[in-house]
Amino acid sequence: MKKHQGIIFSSLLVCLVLVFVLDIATGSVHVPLVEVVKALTGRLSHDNGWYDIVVIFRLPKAICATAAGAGLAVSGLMMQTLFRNPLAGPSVLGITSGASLGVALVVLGTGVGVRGAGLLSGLVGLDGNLLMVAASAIGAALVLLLVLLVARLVENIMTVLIVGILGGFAISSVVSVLIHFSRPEMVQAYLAWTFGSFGSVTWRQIWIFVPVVALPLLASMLLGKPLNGLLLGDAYARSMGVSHWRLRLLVLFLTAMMVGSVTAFCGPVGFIGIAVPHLSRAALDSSDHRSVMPATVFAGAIVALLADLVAQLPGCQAVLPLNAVTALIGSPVIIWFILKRQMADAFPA
Amino acid sequence: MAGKDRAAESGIEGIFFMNEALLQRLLPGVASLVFFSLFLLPEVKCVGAYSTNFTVEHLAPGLTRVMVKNPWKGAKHDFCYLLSDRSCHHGIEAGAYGECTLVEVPVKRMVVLSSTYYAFIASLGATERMVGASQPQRSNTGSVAKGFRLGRIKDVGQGPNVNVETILELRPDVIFAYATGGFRDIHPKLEEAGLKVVLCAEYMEEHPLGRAEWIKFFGLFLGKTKEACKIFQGVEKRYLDLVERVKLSGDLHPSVIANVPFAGRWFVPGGRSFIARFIEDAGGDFIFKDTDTAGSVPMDVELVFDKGKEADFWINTGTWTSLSDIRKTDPRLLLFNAVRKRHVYNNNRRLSPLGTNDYWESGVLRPDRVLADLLSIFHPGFKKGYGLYYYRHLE
Repeated sequence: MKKHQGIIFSSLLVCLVLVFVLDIATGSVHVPLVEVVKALTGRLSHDNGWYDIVVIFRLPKAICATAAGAGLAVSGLMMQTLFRNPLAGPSVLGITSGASLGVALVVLGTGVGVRGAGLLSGLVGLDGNLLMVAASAIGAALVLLLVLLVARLVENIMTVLIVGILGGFAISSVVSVLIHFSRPEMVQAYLAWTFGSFGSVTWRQIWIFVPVVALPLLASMLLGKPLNGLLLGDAYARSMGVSHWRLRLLVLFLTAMMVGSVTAFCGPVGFIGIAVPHLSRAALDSSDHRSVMPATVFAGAIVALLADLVAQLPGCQAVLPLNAVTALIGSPVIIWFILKRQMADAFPA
Repeated sequence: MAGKDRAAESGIEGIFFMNEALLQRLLPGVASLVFFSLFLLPEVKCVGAYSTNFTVEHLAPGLTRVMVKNPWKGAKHDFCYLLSDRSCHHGIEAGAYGECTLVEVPVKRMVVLSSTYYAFIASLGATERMVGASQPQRSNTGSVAKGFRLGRIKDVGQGPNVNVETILELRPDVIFAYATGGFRDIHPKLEEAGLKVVLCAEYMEEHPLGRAEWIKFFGLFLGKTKEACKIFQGVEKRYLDLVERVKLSGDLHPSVIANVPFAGRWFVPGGRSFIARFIEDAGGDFIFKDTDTAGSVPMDVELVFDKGKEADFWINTGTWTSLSDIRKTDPRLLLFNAVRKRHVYNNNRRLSPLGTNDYWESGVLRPDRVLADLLSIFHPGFKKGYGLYYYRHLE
């Protein structure tokens, strides 16, 4: 068993490095591999046009994809365990919707004349991309507060799930009202954000983004054992001495932090959070969080980088929206998982 | 302006001078030709020279067939309208000409579902026949906004959210609309309600003059063909004069990039788009002129950066109004040569108080003004003291 896992983890690591380099080496502009390596090792002159493309455009994008993929996948894993639902993902808590509302208020609100938009930009002293990030984070945090409050008040975790999902619907409807009353160019800007992208994060934002995702990610790593307890049911977890609601709040908080910041910087990136945990569980043939969790980190980063790579359509002028690609990768995985379970139920070994 | 008029005058004089002898000999023939063209074929010279999406056919006095082609990308069939003059009683019945929609002209009550038609209608002096429109309160066209304030023009909603009941209540003769070929198109529903919808395809034209030429289309429905012709000919002449002057000047062609990235994707206008045409006609060298599409291509920012980094000018920059907006959007964009040289121009000088852009409203009818703007941007020495009309210089 241990040896088997060792092989899986080392191949995941090799894969990650490979895909990371490949993501930087390919793109709409052809840059020879030698020059890519030179640029990355600092042996390329800053005046060289390829230096800008590799170091200013591609490297932050690849780093962003790695962090976002890992964060989303781990969030999805924890949500699936917490709600004991294989279809749970980072978006079920309504956090993504909260972030979307924040962005919609900023992007669309200016056209509709919503006071809050102007107030927010005045308050935070930001504009443009950073304002969108701040609005998205605030939106996510507000929804998180609501979910945590409900989680604290009610015993049944399914109630929390329902509040999250229905709250998400309610928030989305506010967004559609905003869209309805907005100017076409504003709607276009908002829709572009909803397509998701790792490419709009700049170096200055990377220094904020990576720690904000990495810290909760590391904290989640320490929760392997208590999460295993949750898998066996609340009663069992209690008997193991796992503090019930404290763990629940901690998991929700960590998830919201990761999902909120990823959505803020990259838009609502779908499917990675739902699909990747299933992939890593299947690869390890285990549900033990102590091994599935790190595998999910690697697999999440790999899938996000792969999606970015495909979305660039190397060798083509045009590019695809990121969310279309993640859905194309993600939905077959979910279908495969459901079919596999059905088959297992129908024909038990 | 004075210089341009002089140039035009001298051109006309030259033609007359050269052909004087010939003219005298052919005078009787020419006179009769002029006579016939004035009385029998007044609309023929009006048939589209630039627009490819509508054709006009005079079937009988007071009876005209207008075909609209290509109302959206990949449209399978054409749309046909049979225009019957109210003053002549043809006794034409619906269905007499196949699938044609029978419309009595001049149209007296109309609902207009795109702001791109407002300038056509207003310049033909027919705004008072508008009873409903899409968000007239946001219009840059003074008469339309005023009509809304006075309660004469009702807001009927926009896009797929058009309010069919409001329109029914307004009892319009026709509804001028556009379609995209998707299931959210509103025209099938309006037709189902027994209303007459006229689909326009001006936005599918690839030549800026082709778009402006749609004023003739509206002229036919409003009974103002002559006025429409005259207005268009003025626009056409001013446009072509400018193009000619660019050609004659033999100036260097500065390189140009257009549009802005949204969330890592840069929607670049295709080489056959009307924006590409504007840039070419204004003596600019559009970096992406070789992409073979009339629509736009979503490109990675790195590609536009690689090809357009050294471009001299950057135009049509979304919602930006100042150079600091560029930094806020993405500081990497400051690396473009056009930004360093402060050669960034946006087409949003004329925004209504509610933020709608007149470039997409009166600009459709006035490509000559758009071209004059671009010309003076790309060739600063060309029109000394010219004040930009649609464009603003980002500072």
